[in-house]
Amino acid sequence: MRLTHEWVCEYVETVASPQEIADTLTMLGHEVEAIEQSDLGAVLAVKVTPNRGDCLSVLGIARELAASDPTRFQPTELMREAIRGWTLGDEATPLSATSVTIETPDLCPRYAARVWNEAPMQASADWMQARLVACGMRPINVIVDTTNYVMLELGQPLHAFDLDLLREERIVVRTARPGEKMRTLDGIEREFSTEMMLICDAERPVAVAGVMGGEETEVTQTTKRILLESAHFQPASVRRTRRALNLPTEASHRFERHVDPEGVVRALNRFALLLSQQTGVAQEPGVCDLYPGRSELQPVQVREARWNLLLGMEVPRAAAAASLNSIGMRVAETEEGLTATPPSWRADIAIEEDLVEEIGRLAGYENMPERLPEGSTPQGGESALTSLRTRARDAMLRLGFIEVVTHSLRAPSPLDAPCDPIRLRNPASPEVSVLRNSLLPGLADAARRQHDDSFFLFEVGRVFLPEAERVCIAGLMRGQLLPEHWRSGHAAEVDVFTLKGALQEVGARLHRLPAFEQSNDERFHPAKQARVVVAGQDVGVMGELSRLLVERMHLQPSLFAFEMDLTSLLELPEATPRYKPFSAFPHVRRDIAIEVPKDVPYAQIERLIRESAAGLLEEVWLFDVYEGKGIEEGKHSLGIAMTLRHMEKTLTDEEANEVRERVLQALASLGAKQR
Amino acid sequence: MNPIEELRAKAEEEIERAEQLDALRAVEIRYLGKSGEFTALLRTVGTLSPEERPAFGKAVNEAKEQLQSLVEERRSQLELTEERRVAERERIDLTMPGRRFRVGIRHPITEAEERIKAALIGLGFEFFEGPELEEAKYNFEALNYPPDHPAMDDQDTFYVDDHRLMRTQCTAIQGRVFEQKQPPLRVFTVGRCYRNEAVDRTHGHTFHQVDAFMVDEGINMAHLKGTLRAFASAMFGADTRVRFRPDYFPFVEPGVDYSISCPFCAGAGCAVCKGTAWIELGGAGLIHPNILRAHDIDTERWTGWAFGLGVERIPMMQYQIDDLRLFYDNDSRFLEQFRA
Repeated sequence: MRLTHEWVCEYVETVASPQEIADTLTMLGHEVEAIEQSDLGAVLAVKVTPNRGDCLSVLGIARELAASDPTRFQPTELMREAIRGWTLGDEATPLSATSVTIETPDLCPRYAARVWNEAPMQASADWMQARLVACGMRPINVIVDTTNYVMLELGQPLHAFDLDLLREERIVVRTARPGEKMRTLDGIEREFSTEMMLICDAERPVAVAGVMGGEETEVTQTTKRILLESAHFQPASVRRTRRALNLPTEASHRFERHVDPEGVVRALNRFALLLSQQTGVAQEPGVCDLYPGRSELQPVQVREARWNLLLGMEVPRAAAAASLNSIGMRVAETEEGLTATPPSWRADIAIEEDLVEEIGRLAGYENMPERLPEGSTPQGGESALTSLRTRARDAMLRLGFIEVVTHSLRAPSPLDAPCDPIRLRNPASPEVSVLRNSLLPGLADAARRQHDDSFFLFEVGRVFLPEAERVCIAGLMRGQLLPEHWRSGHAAEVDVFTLKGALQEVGARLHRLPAFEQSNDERFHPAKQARVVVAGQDVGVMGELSRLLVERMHLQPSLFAFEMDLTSLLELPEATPRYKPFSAFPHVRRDIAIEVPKDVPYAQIERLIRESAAGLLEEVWLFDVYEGKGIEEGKHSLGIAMTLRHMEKTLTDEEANEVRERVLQALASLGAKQR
Repeated sequence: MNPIEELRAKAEEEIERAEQLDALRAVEIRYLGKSGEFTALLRTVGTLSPEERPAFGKAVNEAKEQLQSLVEERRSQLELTEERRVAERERIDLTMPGRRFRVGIRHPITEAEERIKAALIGLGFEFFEGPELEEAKYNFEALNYPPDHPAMDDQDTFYVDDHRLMRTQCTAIQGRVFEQKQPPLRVFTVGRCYRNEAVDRTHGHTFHQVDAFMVDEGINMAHLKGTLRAFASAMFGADTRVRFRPDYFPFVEPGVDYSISCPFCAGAGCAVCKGTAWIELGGAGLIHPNILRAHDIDTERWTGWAFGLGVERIPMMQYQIDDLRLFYDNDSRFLEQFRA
């Protein structure tokens, strides 16, 4: 909301500068987001919180300033007049020119109207136009401008109808009938649903209550007589209607946030005074004022011990009472503290804590002490899943991967997991329409933003599967193992075995060693992929990304990726490391070279070596694979190294050779021949 | 001059003249070797009277020892010279670039999250995680949002269906915590939140949030301020101060927003605090009694506070990043600037 500084000063006399007023308002909870300049001087852009509809006006802001420091901000005669309600003396006279019926008193507790029989159609006064422009409104004519002016001044939205166009010249407040339609002031024909509240004449809707008037009964150059509406509508009802129609207006903004029901006639009077001041035209005597929903705000108790406890500082009872009184509350002292009856514009005050806030806010939070909590201190710490996630992330960081953070809301992707992603009912755009079910699509996006041909990327984050949310870790890599350097030129290229090595390191760090088993995932190269299996359970996928898919997605070729489900992994047994004593004696290395059919998996060979060399075998590793010249078709030659060691003595050459022979004999069962 | 002294002087001169290690070795052998000149001199002891012999032998040995140490000394000198000579041939240009390693880098959001976690765990808070695809009731109703209240306007929400939405605030964990745990409580979470907002430099449809709250006997606003001060000191430096301003959130009463004294200009005014010396960090307040009562927590005995803040704000201030979108683009030229 924008208000000129000079207008505020018409309500409170002060020497405070616009900046000082802004600071005061901000510290009262009404943040001044900007001080702008206009033809009328400073304009304050005030952000009013949604519970304080009463502050959406000059009067409301002036009330807050006066309450904060009555000597610095003294109410002017105009403000006192506003509080008295600009009584014209004819308020008790019923209006004969029209009649109002309220069919829904719960949604419209009060509806009042005044009538003018000669409508002056002219421009509003220059001073009024200047204020409206400075506050961000467009002047139209004296009738519309004065309704807007009164709304800004008092917070009460008004609406003027062309009385001659109202059938039977009367008003009916009711909910919409099925299929009922009306063209609103913005020229759009709208159909209403039956819970929407409408202002109607004898036959048809003429306004959407609290939101916008109808085009047909609008005040125009040809208007002769006007009916001015000033009402109180139930906030939630206005909000539902406004949202359903997607029609936010200055009026609906205020009605949604509660408009003072006691200010309804005051606004009619203020309009009458301003109109007569500008045009000399007087209203028909009398007010049509229906107030079927009158309700008194209930007194609220607040205990002195309670406000002292909650605020963490002492506020004397007299000071608290004065504070509450200054914001319009009727205050009485009780044994334990105070009872305060909120004024009609403070429907947000309902419980003791609401009063505690008012007492604290007006005492000033700058005086609040700082203390650390005492008492029992529960054990802080991470959850098991977070801790696993941190360890997995650390493992990737140690391996030289760079962490990315990608969006969980995204467009569907060919890299999605093979299940339908959950869709947003109200997507922002096709790019923000589904919940990711895999981290791989985001990693592919990140890959496009890398400025080197080689990259190691990973992400830890949630994915959304139809049955549950899971925390996953995924990596995507390509290119050279090490960055190029003048000493060595190009380093080895990343391949599936690099990926496997990385996963084994991550598994080791998480104390859950993975196995790699045959898989059939269309996102990966048909022959270079595996399921990642821990303790017999699938926890992930890995492999070279499908070349076809990579090409279709316009990604660089030779991409290697994995994704692993940490939420599942957490449930699997953890093989915590245990210290194993090691031998003080030297080891003996024995290498074997065997020619073996290519369809014999290496894992089987290694398993057999481990079995046959058990007891003395310390390590075994594959150091060479060769096929081609000198090797039979369909076979390859494997170079395998073993280190052997005895716990209690130095192995002799003979003993080592014996193990080697035993291994070779065992391998013969797989069709392996020594070379 | 006696023959011992004569020989010693001669040897000494030659040791000093030796310019190469092998020349020195030759001198050493000639004079001090088994069949060297001093051995020969010692053999002449037979020509002396028995009384003179011990003194002669002693003098020869002393001369030998002295010369031996001169040889060692000279050898060290020559070795050093030789090493320098060889090394000079190996001189390299150390202005050439060092080898580049693949180094893991934490994303700046993660870095901030980990600092936040360390600070709050240090204050005795327990990490709790709730779903991002959340039940609507935990995001709004359980947090005391009245139906059809304009407070929801700040939180344009992505819905999946009538009952599930992308949580708009991490405060949504509160209801879940109260269902599972009893006071006293010190709990926090860090995670993603989502709002259906137009994306620009300072707004995204996705952002990260911290939400912390505690419930204990006698907890009040001063404890909130004190804890925020301790938290802000851990994050931004020991001198950081905290300021409260009244604000409104349906789940707290009283509600405030809090600012920290600008850690970048010590109050002088700078670009980060836009010259105000204060930086608004988030919202806070005492947990609304309706929330506690909904979980059968006696508000006469137990009170609590809650605070929240945005995670992205922290690296944005720390590294002076001016566009929120950079965090989610993952451009290598962005990520590689932070060796976190």
